[in-house]
Amino acid sequence: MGAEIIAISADSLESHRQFAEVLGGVPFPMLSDTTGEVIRLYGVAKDQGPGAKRSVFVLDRDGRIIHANTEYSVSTPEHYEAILEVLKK
Amino acid sequence: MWQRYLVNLPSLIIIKGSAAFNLFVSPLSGSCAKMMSTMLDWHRFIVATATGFPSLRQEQPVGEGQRRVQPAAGMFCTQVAAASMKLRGINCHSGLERSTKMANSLAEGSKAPDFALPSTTGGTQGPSNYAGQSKLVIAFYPKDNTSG
Repeated sequence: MGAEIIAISADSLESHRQFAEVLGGVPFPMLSDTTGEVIRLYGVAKDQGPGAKRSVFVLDRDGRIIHANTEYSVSTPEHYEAILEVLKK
Repeated sequence: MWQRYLVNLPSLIIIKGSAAFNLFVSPLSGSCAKMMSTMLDWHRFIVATATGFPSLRQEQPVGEGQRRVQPAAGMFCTQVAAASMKLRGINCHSGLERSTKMANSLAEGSKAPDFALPSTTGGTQGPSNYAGQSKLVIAFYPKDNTSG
């Protein structure tokens, strides 16, 4: 479908590397936002404490947001399907 | 007399005020509003949804005394509330401004804010690395070593 993925959390790169190792390798870049700047920029900071709410943004080739879900739930298939839908377009 | 609650969730503002400005502005989805509705008396709130997030497009029921407004109207309500509170010398409009700004920047169809963050693949990564090449899925998550 011609899409790339990046994952962002407030964890350090070191933590990301350990996590990736536990998962047996991760096929996309994991980005470290230790200051929470980008997390706040995208309005997805958690109510309390550091870290991001589970959220997904899909950008088109021009960098426009074509899908946004700031309450992403892994147990809600519709959330996942909605992303696949916009990626297919 | 102003009784106000300012619940400053990252993108959720609730103001409980005079009859004139009982206003609830939620740039988030209806399910978030539903959660809040269990905590607050909704009957005196207007619900203003200020974004075009897909979850809002699915018609979610609004409670008695609530009203769903279009994104543009939601923005208007946000600004009216901010102006109103400013007039009354209530200095909490920064949250409203943030809400307004966020609704602007993160609505579907708007340009995603660019950034450059350190990446496990070396160097930094951000939307501009993918511009003109492919679609990009940006996934935020709470913490490493958490499920899902």
